[in-house]
Amino acid sequence: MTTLGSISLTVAFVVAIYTMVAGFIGARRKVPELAASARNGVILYAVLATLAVISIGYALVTRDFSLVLVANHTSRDLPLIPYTLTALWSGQSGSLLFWSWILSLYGLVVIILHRHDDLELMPYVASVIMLVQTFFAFMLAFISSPFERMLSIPPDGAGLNPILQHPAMAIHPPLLYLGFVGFTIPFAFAMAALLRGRSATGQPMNDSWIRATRRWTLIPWMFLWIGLVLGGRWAYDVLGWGGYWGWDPVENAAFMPWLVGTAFLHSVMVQERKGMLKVWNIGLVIITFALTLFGTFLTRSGVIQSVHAFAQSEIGPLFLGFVALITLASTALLFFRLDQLQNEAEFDSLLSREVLFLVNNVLFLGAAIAVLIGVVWPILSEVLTGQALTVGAPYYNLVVGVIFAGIVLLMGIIPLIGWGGATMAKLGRKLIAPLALAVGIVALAFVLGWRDPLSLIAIALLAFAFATTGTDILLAARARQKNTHENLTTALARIVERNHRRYGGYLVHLSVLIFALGVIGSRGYATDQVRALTRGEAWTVNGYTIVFEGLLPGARVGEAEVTTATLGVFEEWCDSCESRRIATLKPGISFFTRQQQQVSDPAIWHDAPFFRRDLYVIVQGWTDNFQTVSFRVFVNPLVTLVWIGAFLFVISTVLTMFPDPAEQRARERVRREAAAGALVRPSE
Amino acid sequence: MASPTLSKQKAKPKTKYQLKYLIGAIAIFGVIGYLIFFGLTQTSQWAITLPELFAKGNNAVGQGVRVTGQLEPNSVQKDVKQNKIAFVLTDGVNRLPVTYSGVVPDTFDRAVEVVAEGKLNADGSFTATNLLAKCPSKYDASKIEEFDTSKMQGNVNYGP
Repeated sequence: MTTLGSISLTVAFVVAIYTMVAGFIGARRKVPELAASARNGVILYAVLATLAVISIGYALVTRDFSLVLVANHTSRDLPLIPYTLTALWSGQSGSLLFWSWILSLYGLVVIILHRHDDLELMPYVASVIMLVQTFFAFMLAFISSPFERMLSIPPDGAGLNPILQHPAMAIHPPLLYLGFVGFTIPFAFAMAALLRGRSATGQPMNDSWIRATRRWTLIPWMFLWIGLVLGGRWAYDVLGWGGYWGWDPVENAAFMPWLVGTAFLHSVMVQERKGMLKVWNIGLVIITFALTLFGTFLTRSGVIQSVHAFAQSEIGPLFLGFVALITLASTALLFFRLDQLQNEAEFDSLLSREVLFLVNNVLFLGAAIAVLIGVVWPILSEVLTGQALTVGAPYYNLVVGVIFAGIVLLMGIIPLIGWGGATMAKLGRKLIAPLALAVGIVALAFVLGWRDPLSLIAIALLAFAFATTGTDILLAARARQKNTHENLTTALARIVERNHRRYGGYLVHLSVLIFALGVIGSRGYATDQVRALTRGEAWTVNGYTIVFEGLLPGARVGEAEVTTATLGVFEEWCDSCESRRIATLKPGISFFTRQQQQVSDPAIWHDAPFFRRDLYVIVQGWTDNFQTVSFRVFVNPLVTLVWIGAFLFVISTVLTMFPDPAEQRARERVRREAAAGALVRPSE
Repeated sequence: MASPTLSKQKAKPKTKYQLKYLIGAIAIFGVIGYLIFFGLTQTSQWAITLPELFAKGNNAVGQGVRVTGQLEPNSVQKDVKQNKIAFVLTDGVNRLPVTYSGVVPDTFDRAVEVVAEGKLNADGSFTATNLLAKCPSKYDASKIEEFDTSKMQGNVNYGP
């Protein structure tokens, strides 16, 4: 079985090279047989990669410890599902295989879904995807094989690190991969459009690639978001520091392509509507893809210190070489085709939606640059000043925070301004109600005890953007009601249904605002206190009285010895009142004997109403006689909004992906025309 | 074909706007650039190894530092009641006593290499505000065999 997998990878390398060349020549020389052969190459590669993955899966299930990958990441007592199977992507060679496999599946879906589309473009797309696959297949076949064997077969494997044995950790990496890898597809479409240039009939380079690309960017962009959020959720539930985002280099490596991808998703609309920003858009696609590779280089090469201590290895320089090659080649190609990427229109007015979209783009790109500089600062500063310097959360919170404030402000202004432009006077009238709401919300927050000026400014911006976006949706529904006499809910549902992109996009914005409110509340107003309690002792924290009721040491749970403390949570105690018991919390520490490692098990309680805050308790340690236990208590306001906002974000993004009725019709028209064109061609 | 007068009318506002956009773009990039510069100068810490820190001597006192060193076996002392932890970082020759109060990473007890962020005091001790533990291999349990856990026994005053 492992021999089969090993052979498949070698064959896959040959197939990748062949398909890359066949696709290119087939498209260039207009040889339909070669183009069809390239399509089959993409399918064959997917089959071979799947065979290799199945072989590894088989080795994992049968616990074949003769393979390094199996011996290093699993053990006999590790549950088969999911953690033994997820070992596929635990190590370096496995994750390379996983990457290549996912890309092959993306390629397969692209080839199948677009089989009727632009027949001049698709062989190039196949060729570019296979260029990337050639790199991965080369590494898998010759540098870092997942089928590498142990020198001697150990009786048992090394096991999986206990802190990774968490459901979120089983699905967080594959989602991140779906995101990272998926950005190859928009890159392939953009490069294909550049490679093709003018069409056979001498038509200038058309925008068909960008219509395909918007959706192929949305998909990985959404997966990357889910991956990032799940990583945060895992950190919150498992790591026991009360937070969910630490600006660690590895988090940043995943965050940067997401930022640039977001910029692209906005500027793509300007190109679709106005035929502008063509060079800029291709540039963003290249940067997004390059950042996914560069991020992988950073995390694998060990040049940057991170809490995610991935195995460091020789593949770092190869990644750096590949990313340099890709960036240079694609930029050169873009430069070569500049004459075909003329703007079809000028900006009409400074105060127009297209100009503000461009500002939005600059801000997103600026945020990505700020993060990138922060990540490489240790290297950059050593070159510049001779002293390696490092920055952490304070730097990112400041710089990215201010840029995001600007983005939220734009998010609030843009619904007020149409394509083409608006006048100041008109804008002024529309501003009054949202501004009033912003002031009202700030006043409310002030009454509720928010005093930090930065957070008050931030929620003013959120309220403003919420109001303008909400008003825009509501006004559209009202306008519809005038004609149809539907009730408001029906009208709302109908306008969303008729225009998925516009209103789905607005719903994404509203979700982001909810998410942002959660971030501001939980980061700006979290409290963090530590105290050692003896049994029966009460401690009042932020309106809660916590009583340490008992400690159960050393219970055996699976591989771990778990020590659990019991805490009663009451309404704040006072001398004359009866206090109600509102919750019982059981934080603990698990000690994994095999790995000699402890993992803290935080206890989290979401306080009603509306989960307004989390009471988050961890055990820090105890004295030898178990009589005194040290607890750390975080009170995190509004943190539930982070998860709710993130979830709504995904739902809304899915909505924007589905074609609405108008697009459905347009697509069918294009397809008919393409079919007619294909029939005409032989006679030309 | 547009008439000459029309294209002339069009051309004029174009240049005016182009200049506006240029100024606007420079202003936005300028603000972002300044923001990054300000953030870097305000929050940068020295990233150095233990021998480098000792080489700096008194020059490093009071400076924000992120120092990487080996955790000296059996040097960890925890005070549960006061929520404090003290340990010694070493490069094999020199020793740096570190005190810390805050969240200790779960992997700390198993760590060989520790990254401490904080400040060097005039008396040669180090007050950390953040700790990172570098395990033999945190996400890759493969090298556990190479790591002699017996060295770490007794470090931890708590835990089962």
